[in-house]
Amino acid sequence: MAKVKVVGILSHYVGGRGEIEVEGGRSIGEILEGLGIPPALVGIVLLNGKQVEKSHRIEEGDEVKLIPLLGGGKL
Amino acid sequence: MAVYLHADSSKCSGCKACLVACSLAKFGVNNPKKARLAIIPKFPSPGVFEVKTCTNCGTCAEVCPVGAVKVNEKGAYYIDPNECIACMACVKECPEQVIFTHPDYPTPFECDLCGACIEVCGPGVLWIE
Amino acid sequence: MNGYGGKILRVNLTTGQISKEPTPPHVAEKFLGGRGFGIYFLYTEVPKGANPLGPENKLIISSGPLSGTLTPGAGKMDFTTKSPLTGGYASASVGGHLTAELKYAGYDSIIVEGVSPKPVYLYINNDEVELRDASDLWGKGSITVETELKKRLGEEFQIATIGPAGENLVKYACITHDFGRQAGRGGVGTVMGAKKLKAIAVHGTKDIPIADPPALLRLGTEAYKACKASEAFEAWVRYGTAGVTVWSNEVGAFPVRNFQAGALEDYSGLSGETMRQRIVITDKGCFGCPSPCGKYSHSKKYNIYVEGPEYETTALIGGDCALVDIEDVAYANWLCDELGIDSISAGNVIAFAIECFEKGILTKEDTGGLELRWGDPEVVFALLEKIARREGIGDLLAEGVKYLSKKLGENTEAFAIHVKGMEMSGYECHNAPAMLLSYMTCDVGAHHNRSWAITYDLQVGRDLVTPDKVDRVIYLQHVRPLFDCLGACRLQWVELSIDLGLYPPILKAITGIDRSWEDLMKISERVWNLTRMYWVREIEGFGREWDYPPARFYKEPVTYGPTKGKLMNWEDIQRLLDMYYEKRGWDKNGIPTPGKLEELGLTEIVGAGA
Repeated sequence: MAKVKVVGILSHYVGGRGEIEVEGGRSIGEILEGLGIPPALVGIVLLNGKQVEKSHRIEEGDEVKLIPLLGGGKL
Repeated sequence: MAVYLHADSSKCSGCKACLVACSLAKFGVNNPKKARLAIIPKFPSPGVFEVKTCTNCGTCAEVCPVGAVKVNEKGAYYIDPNECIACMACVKECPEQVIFTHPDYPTPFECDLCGACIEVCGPGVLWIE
Repeated sequence: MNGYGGKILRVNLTTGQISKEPTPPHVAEKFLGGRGFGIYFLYTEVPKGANPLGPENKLIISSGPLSGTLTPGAGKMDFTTKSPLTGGYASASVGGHLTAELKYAGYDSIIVEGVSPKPVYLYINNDEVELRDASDLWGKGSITVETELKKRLGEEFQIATIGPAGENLVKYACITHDFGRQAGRGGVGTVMGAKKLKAIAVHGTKDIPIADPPALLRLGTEAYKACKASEAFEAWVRYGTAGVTVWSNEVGAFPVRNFQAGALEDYSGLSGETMRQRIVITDKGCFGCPSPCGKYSHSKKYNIYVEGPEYETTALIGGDCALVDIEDVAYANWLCDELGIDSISAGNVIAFAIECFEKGILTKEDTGGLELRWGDPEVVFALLEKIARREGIGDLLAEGVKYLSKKLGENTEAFAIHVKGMEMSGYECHNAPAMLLSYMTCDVGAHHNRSWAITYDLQVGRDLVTPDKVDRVIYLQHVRPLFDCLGACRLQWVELSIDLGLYPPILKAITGIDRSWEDLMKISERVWNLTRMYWVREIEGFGREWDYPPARFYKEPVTYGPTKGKLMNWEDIQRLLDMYYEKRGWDKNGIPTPGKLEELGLTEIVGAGA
């Protein structure tokens, strides 16, 4: 399993959860689709602290952080 | 080892919030030119900041001719303005050059480990140990 | 006056006379400072019809009540003038340490008047102010001059300079400060060059008077802690604005090939992480900022040190000219800094020129044999040098894309990507109505900083042309530039999402004046309407048409990227403007009504200046 941290307003799309366990072996884009989080609202994806593109594949044990890009207002 | 204010210069962004917090905490004024630590920018090359803090080496107390440099309850040296004769020997001899003066005050001043700077430092440059 | 340096410094370059007057409390009350002071002095002191490059124009340099205090991001300075690029209002903001230092010297604004007979620099050391000979600095690059002046005067002096581009009156010349920050847009550097003012050097050691110092220490410290606690803190500090590049390409907001496309085929070479791995050496911050976004970098390939590239430079010099290597963009960035050119306008103009060459409208004869093509860094480097020195084709490119397209004709105006003569910055908006409206109605021309509404378009749906989008634009146009009046950075709120409610108590602790957020937004609306009236006064026939976007956005669909095939609708553009004017209390031609001006307390100022 991989860990996905969902920050700020993005957590609205996953029932308020801030941290979710997902199966590895898929791209970030696929994971977002599965979770129902609009990719356009995810400003930065950090994989183990470094930015990756949404096409990047997640492996077991990875830690992902999804940060919204709101441009002002509550995160 | 004596407790003192450590600085990891490699993390410093040069913002000077520490200097402003210091002046507010110790003198009650907003003026980074009245702070008790120093940031030295090195630009355009190598493009880094060097942070100078008191290492509690005790040189100031050693060189003071009148014993005006004392130790507070935190273990930090401080200059007693009532006894200081403003000879500036401590300022000159401080190996880190972190004893400061300002025209508004008759006597020099140095860090007393109040920690106000640590609270406002974003990158986490400073800590007391 | 608590929170203020206390004096306005007037420098008349024609006569050499220097005078000081107390900062007027009634102006501070109604306009706060920074950009607010800028438009106040511009409107009331620069006569209608003044030549932007002549002695009647003034360069108004202002800090704000938050500048230099214990507030996150308390490091922004405003440069306001009549724009040589657009003929209207210009205001450019720069970070670094200049604004704080000016307050410590005891001043809130410097008003530079007249034209010097010889190159000079302005020396300010607390009460000591003089004009010094700069003939040995004239012709030199900004970074070179800053280095030299710090050597001569001391590291503690804060320096702002123009480069050769400002001296040569390139219409989008900028002012550089702190080894890589710029007051970039609208030709503020051009005005400084026309006045033969090469640099400003400031040093101050005074207290800023504070109404309640213990409260400031407590509230300010709380605000710093809020920044550090933000979930976005680590990403913001790691990448700064460069973190936007990947997202912008992924959603199709990245301008490519003169705003023809919304993404590059391969943008990995431009990403924030690539930049971090290849060139970044220090996270460099402005005064008082806990979340340093400056990515000070060293390129081994070109052996230069540069702060950046920022997202905007990556978008206009990178994407728009189709450069795909961040190190090439970094070198171009350094050239812009040293030569003193706004990298946004420069990238936009160069992209326009490349497209003209592609279409045969510009030929090798025009370019002196240089073959202009997409994705060629050598072309970009060569053109930047030519523009700065007004050599060959550079002389024409130095005038900006609006003038250039009018001169070339052949329907090039349809793809001259500007509004009001200001080249558009880094967000492609064929399919982003809120962002497009932001660009159309921005008060300096097509710049994104007043209202960054692209995320709202993505949040609610790109295709929607609805009243809530207009509401969002107006809201952002009040809250974002408010920070420019306060003399502080807005990015701690924008990027870290700290609570806006933290600011009014801090401002009260500093000034002693109780102002609610609503009070502050009213001041911002006042400033917004006065900047609009400046355009009305200075531009014959100013009105609705001056808010129109380039035809490319409603005539030519996007060629590549997630928004491929998309196009704005002309009727929707008109509808957006109708809604915008109505909500703003302006008439159908986009002119503030007498009722609106009265409501904002502007009747006297506007009446007198008309």
